[in-house]
Amino acid sequence: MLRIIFPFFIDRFPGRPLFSAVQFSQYWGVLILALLGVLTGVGALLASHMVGSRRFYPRKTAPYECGIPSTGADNQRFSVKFYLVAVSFILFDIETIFLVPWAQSFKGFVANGEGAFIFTVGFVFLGMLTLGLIYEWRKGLLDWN
Amino acid sequence: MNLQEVVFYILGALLLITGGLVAFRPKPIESALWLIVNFICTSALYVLLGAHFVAVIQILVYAGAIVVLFTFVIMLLNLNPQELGLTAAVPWTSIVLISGTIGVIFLCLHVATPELLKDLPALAENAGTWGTLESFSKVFLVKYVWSFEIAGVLLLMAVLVVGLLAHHHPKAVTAGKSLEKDIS
Amino acid sequence: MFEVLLPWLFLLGKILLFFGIVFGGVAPVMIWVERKVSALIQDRVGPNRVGPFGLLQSLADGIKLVLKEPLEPEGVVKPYYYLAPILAVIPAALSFAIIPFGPATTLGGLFETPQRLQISNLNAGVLFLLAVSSLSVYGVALAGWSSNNKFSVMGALRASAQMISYELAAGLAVVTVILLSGTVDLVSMVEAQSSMWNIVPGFFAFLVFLPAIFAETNRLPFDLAESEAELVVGYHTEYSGIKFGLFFLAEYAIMTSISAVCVLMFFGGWELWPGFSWNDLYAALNLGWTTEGTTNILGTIIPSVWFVTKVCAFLFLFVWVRWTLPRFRYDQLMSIGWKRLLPLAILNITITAALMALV
Repeated sequence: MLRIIFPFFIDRFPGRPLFSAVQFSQYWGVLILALLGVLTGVGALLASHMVGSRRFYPRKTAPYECGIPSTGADNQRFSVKFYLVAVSFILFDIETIFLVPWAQSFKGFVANGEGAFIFTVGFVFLGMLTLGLIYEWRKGLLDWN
Repeated sequence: MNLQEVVFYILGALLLITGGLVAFRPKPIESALWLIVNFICTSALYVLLGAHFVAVIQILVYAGAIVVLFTFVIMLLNLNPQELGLTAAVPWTSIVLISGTIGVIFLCLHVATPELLKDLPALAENAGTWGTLESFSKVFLVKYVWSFEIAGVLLLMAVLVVGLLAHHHPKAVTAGKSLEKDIS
Repeated sequence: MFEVLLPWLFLLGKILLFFGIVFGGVAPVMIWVERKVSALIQDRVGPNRVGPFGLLQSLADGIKLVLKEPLEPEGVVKPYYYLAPILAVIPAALSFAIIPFGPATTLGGLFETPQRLQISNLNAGVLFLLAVSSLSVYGVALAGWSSNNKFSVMGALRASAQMISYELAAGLAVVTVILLSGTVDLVSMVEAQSSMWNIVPGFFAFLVFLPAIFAETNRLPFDLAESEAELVVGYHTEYSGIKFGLFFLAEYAIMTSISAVCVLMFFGGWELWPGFSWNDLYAALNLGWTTEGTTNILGTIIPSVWFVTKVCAFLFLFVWVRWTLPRFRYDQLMSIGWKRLLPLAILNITITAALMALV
């Protein structure tokens, strides 16, 4: 019954392999490594809890503020420049990832004799990126931060 | 049920659960963290499809840049759940109706898929390599060059919008009571 | 049966080797190196009590950190307070997944085809490292935010902003190297440098990449976020004992993996010298060895040791720079990232692409 509603792997294209199985198996290492990282962190914390000494008193657990009693961390004023940095970062990060396929295939295009084409494509894109950067620079969005 | 099916169902369940957690947790920072897990599951689904480049890009851009922006905003604003309006009652009827409608639409799409995908013979030839960076870049820069350039124009427009957003002098953002110092 | 298990055993062996050496070996050794080198630079002796030349000092420090009281400062948001060190360690562990530490080997004939000494041969290659380093922002941000301490929150915000700004410059430098090598795969990058190491055509990319990785790992001269005098200790003020140790461990692990990637991208990885590869050396010495290690496994081990030596040289550079240069102010730091490194990286990509298309 479940198979009728959720037939994920019905062979819609008979004769074609379903996945690139070779490359899929490479990701096991990533998974195991991530698990090992989590285990290290959790294990270290547990070890510290089991083995560490325990002598709590209020003055020790108060947040550090150079010796004066703390007034808490919730009533701070933050500059909005942090937000602008984060947004600019997203935009330029996306530009970078667009450049990766271009860079990877550049050599191939040059070898095929299409060097001028691929360079122009990249140059226009990079030019727009630079215009954006110059605009942000002139507007002062990159200052003091 | 081979291994890939099992992994798919696990990932799908994780995706739905973390999506629900993102939507229903009272604290915004928890939502952001569950969103990271959600994006990692999406990336794993891309890997399952063989789209290796898009999988890594998903982590780089979504989990590594966009959720960072969300985290910054959450840290800067530091609102408690009352101010966010999250302590109000959950509107269950609306949720059930909307998700039910979307579910029916997807079910219809799913049943109709063999018909819609009837003319896709091209996929059969390069099944093993269609999602790799090499094949992606070959098609991307030859067939979709104009999309590439228009994407650049769109990003430039986004930069202009950021400039407009910051047009008035950057004011400090406060949360609740404020101290006199302007920490920058 | 053994043939089926062999790839899995090999994978587990690689993972345990990497993980054990980096997390169990590099961090303690680096701490000792840091203290000894800083002492020598500052004209004093450094640790010399615990063990010969103070070599067991790191072990003593590690044991002390675990035995310390697991302090929970008041007002701290407990789940995130404990999650933050783990979130810092996970990207550090993951960053080793794509690093090859030697040429492809048959391990003395154990495999028919040469197997890579890389935990995962991902299609995205170096991009995976960029993705993982962008995840390392969360450990910092969450650590500062969850501690109920003004200085921690400020330190965390500033550290996060610094890390993401320099990720751009690092990413564009990596794009230049991808341009030069024509591939994202690290092993192919090393093979493409057999005639000339990328440091020569990609010199400016290296000039952009080096400060970027110093800033990514929050090392001096970019360590304002954790500097002792300015912001107490910044985002890990309220962390003591092994939680602080975990942040430290993560920082050294990422330093190691980024140095390894730097060596692979710019300095030819395990290649002996540009134009004179290990196979040439073996042929000149009439040894009959190959880098694939079919006749003698030393043929693979020697290039790997050479690679590790180069990485160690980079780690020494990290320590050397830390104790030599003064710290940048925060606004200087951000202006270097956005106004100097980013334009230089873009210009470098344009000029490199132009030269490659013309020549």
